[in-house]
Amino acid sequence: MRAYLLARLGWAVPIVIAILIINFLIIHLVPGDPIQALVGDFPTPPGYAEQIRKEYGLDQPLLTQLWLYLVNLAGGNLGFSFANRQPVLPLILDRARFTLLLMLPALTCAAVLGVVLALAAAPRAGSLYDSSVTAISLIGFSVPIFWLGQILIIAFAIKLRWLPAQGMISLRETLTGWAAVADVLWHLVLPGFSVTIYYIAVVARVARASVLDALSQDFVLTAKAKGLSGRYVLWRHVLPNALIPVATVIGYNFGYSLTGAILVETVFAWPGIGNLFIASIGNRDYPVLQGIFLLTAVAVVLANVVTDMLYAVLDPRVRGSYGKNA
Amino acid sequence: MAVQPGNILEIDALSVTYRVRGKTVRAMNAASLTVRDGEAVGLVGESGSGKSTLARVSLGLIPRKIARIESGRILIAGRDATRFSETEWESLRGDPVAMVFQDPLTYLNPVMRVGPQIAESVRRHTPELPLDQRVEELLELVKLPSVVTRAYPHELSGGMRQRALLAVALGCRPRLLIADEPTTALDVTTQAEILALLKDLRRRLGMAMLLISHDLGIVASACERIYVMYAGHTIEWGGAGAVFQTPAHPYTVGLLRAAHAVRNAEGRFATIAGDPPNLAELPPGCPFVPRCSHALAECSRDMPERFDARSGDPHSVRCWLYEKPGLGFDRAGTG
Ligand SMILES: Nc1ncnc2c1ncn2[C@@H]1O[C@H](COP(=O)(O)OP(=O)(O)O)[C@@H](O)[C@H]1O
Ligand SMILES: [Mg+2]
Repeated sequence: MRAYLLARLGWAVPIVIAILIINFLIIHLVPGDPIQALVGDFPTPPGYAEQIRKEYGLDQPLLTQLWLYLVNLAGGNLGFSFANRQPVLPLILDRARFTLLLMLPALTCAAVLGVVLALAAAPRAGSLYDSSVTAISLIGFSVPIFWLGQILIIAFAIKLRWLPAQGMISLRETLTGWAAVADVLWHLVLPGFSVTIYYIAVVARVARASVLDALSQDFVLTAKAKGLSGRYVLWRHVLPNALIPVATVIGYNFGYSLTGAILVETVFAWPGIGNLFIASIGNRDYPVLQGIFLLTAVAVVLANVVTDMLYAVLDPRVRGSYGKNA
Repeated sequence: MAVQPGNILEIDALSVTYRVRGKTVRAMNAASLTVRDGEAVGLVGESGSGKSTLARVSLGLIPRKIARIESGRILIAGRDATRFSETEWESLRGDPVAMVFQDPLTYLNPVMRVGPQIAESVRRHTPELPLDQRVEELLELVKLPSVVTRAYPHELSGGMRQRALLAVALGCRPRLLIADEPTTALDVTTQAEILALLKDLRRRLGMAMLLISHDLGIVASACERIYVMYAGHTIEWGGAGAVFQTPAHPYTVGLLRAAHAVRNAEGRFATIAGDPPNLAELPPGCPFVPRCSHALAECSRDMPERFDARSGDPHSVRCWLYEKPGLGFDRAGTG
């Protein structure tokens, strides 16, 4: 087990290093003076460009520059966003919190509901219920998320006036304590629902296939031959086996959750990473874009490591292949 | 409750069909078989003859969507289970009838330790017994060390897995154990060990056994009575010695000769000439006719109910050659 985890982590390290180097090279691949990539297109105070030139050693050899870049990164210095008047790292971490606030509950709900739907549908493959689950997940999968978002806004925010359409907090009043929390949750309903619907479809499609596959495995026959009930066999024998492929899909989507919300955040003006990303493209705020790229890449690598660990938890054969003594 | 001696399993002229891509595959054709309480019965036939179908249908393990019982009856401990619902079948599975399967790796849950897999049988069928102690007992019964409880199936050898699967079945306290080719996936030495274990367990636990194999020798050594199956028909049955020493049906004769030939002339596989029939297009009459060198006119018309095989023992055969006294062929093997 330990050997397996170390091997997986061992893989993550060179990948992260590669990401850092690519990020560094991007600065130099941007047409024109690399100073522009480090400062952005926003008007800057006089002398700032000169200061950056020195900080990153832009007049020195490339390797020295790489070294200085890494030193800056290690110190948490991802540059300064003049468009937002604050350093890049706290800015994107701040916005990442809001994105995760939207995405993590939605993905978790979707993972659970998608698997439960599949568990209910697969044993009755071909039935009306199963076909409806398949049809609904096909629709959920193919409906553009911004379209769904706008329909929801029209229905629940504009026509019915039940829920807020935009933003994360009410601007008209200043709330504190639990009232503020409730206010955020209130704003979370529509964007969260749009995201959840999509990911339920994504998870249910894969989960249904893998539950069907697990149901046809020989060990299910052994379990039934013991006299165990169909429901028990489904939860205790089929589900743990079916979860192994599903974990990949869920892990993958958690990895991309930081950028997965760009469309929803735009539609609902949710102040997360996606929104910042779009705004920064408009402002040609390169330091922020690079920061987002770096953060996303690292998140994907981390999610992969976590998924691999999940594999080891779900499937003893994976653990075994890296030595039984561990 | 005292167990009344009688038939624990009775398959009565059972016909089962699979629907495969619009075609009807006749896997069982009016096949009959009886297992009495405490008796060891063997079922032999080449691959595809319907042995596994018979075993599974006897436990209601083939979903209605996949296979249909066209006619005939399944009686378990005297109860007609032919039209049982899934819930009714659940009450018969494990106890009185348990089953072990051919490939012990795929038939154990790969992500569950062996101990809990055995414990499930115990909890389901004997919840009054102390669980851990009973699991230990079962492992001892199949001669596995108790560390196996914590192992995953992939960490065990083929023989150990088959023993574990056996412990799962025995944990149900069955009156009848159906063993579907329990040694086919194992190497020769392990085969012999598992077979010896099965014989020993049956004697000690006093349970009935239906041992399924494509190897007449294996079945003859472990069973009191034998059924021979061909293309979904039970074509011959009788005492193990009678069927093995004096096979009656031309197919059984050929089966035995092929087995001996493999042993004698190394390297050259002797088989029965011709191919097994296509179960989707079975002609009327005896399905062995195209491969039979003794076929009579009536053989292509229909199949006889049964004739006495005249080997001196209770021994029946479904072959027109036995209709009249004076056999038309030499059953010892040269004809
Ligand atoms: N699930 C199934 N679907 C369709 N056909 C099947 C299925 N299982 C078995 N059969 C067919 O039924 C026949 C008998 O198979 P089986 O009972 O497995 O024979 P055996 O155990 O003697 O090898 C074969 O022709 C096989 O192809
Ligand atoms: Mg078989």
